[in-house]
Amino acid sequence: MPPRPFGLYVHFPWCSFRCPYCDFAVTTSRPMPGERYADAVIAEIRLRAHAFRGRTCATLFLGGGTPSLWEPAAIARVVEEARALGLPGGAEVTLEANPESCDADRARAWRDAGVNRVSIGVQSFDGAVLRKLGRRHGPGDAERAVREVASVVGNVSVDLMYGGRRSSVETARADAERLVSLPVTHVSSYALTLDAEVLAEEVPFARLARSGKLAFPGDDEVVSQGRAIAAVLEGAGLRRYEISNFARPGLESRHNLLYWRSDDYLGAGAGAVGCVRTEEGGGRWTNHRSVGPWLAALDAGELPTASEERLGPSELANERIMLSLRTAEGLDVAWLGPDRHGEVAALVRAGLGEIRAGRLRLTLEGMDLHSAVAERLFGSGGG
Amino acid sequence: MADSNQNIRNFSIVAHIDHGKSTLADRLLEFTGTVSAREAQAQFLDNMELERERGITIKAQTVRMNYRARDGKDYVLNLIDTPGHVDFAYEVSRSLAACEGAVLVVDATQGVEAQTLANVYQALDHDLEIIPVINKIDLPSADVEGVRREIEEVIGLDAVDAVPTSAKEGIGIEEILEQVVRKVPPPSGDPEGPLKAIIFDSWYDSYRGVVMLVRVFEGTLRPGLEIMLFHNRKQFEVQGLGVFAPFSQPVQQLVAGEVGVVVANVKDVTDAKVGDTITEFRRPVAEPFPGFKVVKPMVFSGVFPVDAADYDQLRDALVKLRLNDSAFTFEPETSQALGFGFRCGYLGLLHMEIVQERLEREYGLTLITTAPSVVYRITDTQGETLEIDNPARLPPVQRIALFEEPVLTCHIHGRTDDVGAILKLCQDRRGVQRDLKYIGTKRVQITYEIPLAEVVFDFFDKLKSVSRGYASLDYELKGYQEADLVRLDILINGEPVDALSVIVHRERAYQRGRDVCQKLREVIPKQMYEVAIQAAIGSKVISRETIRAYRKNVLAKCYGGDISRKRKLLEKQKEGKKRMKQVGQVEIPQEAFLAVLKVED
Repeated sequence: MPPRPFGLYVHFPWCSFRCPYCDFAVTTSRPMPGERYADAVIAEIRLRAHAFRGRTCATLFLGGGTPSLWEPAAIARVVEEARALGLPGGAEVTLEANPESCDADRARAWRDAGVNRVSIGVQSFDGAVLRKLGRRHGPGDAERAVREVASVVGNVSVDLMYGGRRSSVETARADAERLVSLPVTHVSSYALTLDAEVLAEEVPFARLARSGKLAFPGDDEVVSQGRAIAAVLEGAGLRRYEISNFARPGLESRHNLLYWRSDDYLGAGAGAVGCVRTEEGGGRWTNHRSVGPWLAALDAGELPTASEERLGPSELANERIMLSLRTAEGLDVAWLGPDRHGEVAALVRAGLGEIRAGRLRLTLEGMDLHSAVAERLFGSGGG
Repeated sequence: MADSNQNIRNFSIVAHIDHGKSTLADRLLEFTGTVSAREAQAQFLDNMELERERGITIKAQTVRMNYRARDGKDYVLNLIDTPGHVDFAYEVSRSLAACEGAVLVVDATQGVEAQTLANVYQALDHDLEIIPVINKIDLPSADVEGVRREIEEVIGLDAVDAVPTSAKEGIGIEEILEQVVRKVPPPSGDPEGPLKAIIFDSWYDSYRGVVMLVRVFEGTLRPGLEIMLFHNRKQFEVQGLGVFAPFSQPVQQLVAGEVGVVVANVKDVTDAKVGDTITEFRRPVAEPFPGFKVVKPMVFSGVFPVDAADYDQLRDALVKLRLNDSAFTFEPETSQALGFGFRCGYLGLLHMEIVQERLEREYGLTLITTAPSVVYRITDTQGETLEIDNPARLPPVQRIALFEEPVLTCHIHGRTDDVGAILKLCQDRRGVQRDLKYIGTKRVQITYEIPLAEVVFDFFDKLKSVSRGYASLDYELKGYQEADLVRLDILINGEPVDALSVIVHRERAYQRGRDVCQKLREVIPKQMYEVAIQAAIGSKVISRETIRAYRKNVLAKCYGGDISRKRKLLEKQKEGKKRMKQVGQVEIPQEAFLAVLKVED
């Protein structure tokens, strides 16, 4: 069997401002030393590459932060570095962008740098919803951004966010309808998440929600919004291939599928996470979240790792359950211990899951309960 | 020889909780040089505290002190400490039976309290000489004269000589010892007579086998002596004798009047029953010491490992516990809902809690305990009598000719101010009033017959609460009485959960069914499936509650940087559910199985 390919993820932490719901590794400090950051990212990729020796880089994802703020020349250098790891000419190279930094000129520069897929953080086309999410672009900016980028790059994905203040089933449905009228190939539809134990770090909205200073829609409302969006998207031919992701057939995100299929990834940049699995198990590393310590380590010629985790058989098995159940491909039932088969039967009975060709896939209702389902299927020896 | 026991004084200390019993015991040990001041803190008390914290105050403590009195003579003072809960009333009575006197400690700032009274009456029942002590006189709010009057008026004891004491400051200690010497009668009994000794505690020691704590009334125990245990006529040879001073030390004999431990190659603690009489095999006494009872468990509950793999470990732990606690019983039980476990019998609810806590803490087991049940007596249509300690084993209604439940005679001491509340509580518990007696102007003694099942059901806590802690409870089993009882079943998603069944009075069944369903709705967490909770009598559903399924439990994003954090979150949730039992597809937390007990009236 040929060695499994891996994905390359590069994190660019700078944003022009911080969104009050965002828990990613983000900085708004200035100046933004884009070239120096690119040097360090390339140095890190080279340091980490030999853990992936003999394997081919299959995808590149430039995430953030707001990597669309990065100089196209710097982006081009990172793409070059991925080519050195074997990234084929036609392979997926995604750049995350916010609507403010999207126009046809920039899109051309990205395309020339090697980017062939742009993921735009639209969130909503409703002015009130956008303002309440703390976003600075308006509905018109978002639509213009999508059209201009699509005219150059072709493959455009859009992020939607529902469940925010001022949102309703109507605003959610309207967002989805406006979206499908645009030239998009892929949509990520996310419920606003403020649950403290789920977030990587505390965000202002979570604090305000907890103290009762801001009220957000309840679970029933959020579920209805998500379903309204899904119905419109699927009606327009965007297939739900993961809990929060919809794509025209064949245009699913190759890079993200790699996470959900438990493949490996090389993460570089401040706050990036990477994962390598071997026969015996595996490990996952997390980089320093702040640019300062991350740069300092690389300047000293060292790996910028802040923490490492060993992944034993039970962790790997649990991840496989958790991740594969997020996808339309589902979970190979043979991966589960025989003691879980009763659970599977109960899921099917309750209409939360269905079995096709030996794989358990969650239904619409099941997807809304993914965490509970995954946890019940975890091996009892785990943890 | 007859003189030897003239120098012995056997006494205990009785007190309301917090009135300073342990501190006083420490001072006595210190004053008599039995322990140094440092040891008193570091060893003796700590030992007791640890035992108390570990919940084994069921064990009596004794310590021997040597004291040269003002009369110039040397005395041996045996302090016999007693456990202090109504569950262990019998053990207390046996400890008191081993004494001739009792030091009664009353707090100079609190005066006579309910427990003081109950303890005093018990001591008086054993004809003990009582030495009142007014403690904590160092406190600014101490009212020595007021308390002295109260002892006389409320208890009816002569308190002229009551010793003003501060155990904390070491005041009055010598006077207490002098009064013990002067007032507590020396033990009578002929060291040459046929052996008669009472066992007032016993425990298992892995080196020596069963150790029996005894008080010799007649004759003399010596190593090599062939002894016989009265109740089962079993014969043993004395191998070693000892006293606690305060640490165990061997002695060559225990003569009439003395207190000490006997090791006689007894292997099974159930042979050495508290209250039994030890006599000489070749020269037995005609009559044993009166008052012996085979203590029988009054309350039963199922104990199941949450993880079925822990079954063997649970059995081993129960065997070990039983070695030291002959009042505790267990036998295998199988539940449809909970799998393999044990039906355990206890003296009362405190005893039950102690056993469960020890199983969980000392043996690291995670357990599910079902609601306690009393032993019901069924006479079936064939005329056969069955004892039912497990509601799941109740025969079908049409086969029951007579359904009887155990009833207690309860003696409650309380303040006159609380009479109304106490009577209401007793009435609510299907009690029948037998007596109500005022003692002085402030105290009342109330006697009620109350079904044991109603007492088991948090009666003691309620009594404490309606009387703001002042009332005390003492009870004995009166016997069995017919009652209109039914089995209340609980169904989860249509399946009866045998471990949740309880036997209740018919009049209470509807209310109880509603309460239990509501309580279960509170304690069973939301899950991914809807949960229907029903209460039923026979095939008739009398109450229903529904726990809606979650609407949403999903993480919106899960990419490379989220995987570990999210997996750990789910693993943590899974770990948290290890204390739950899955019945069908429903995860039921441990506390749900006790919810049937803990509903509010």
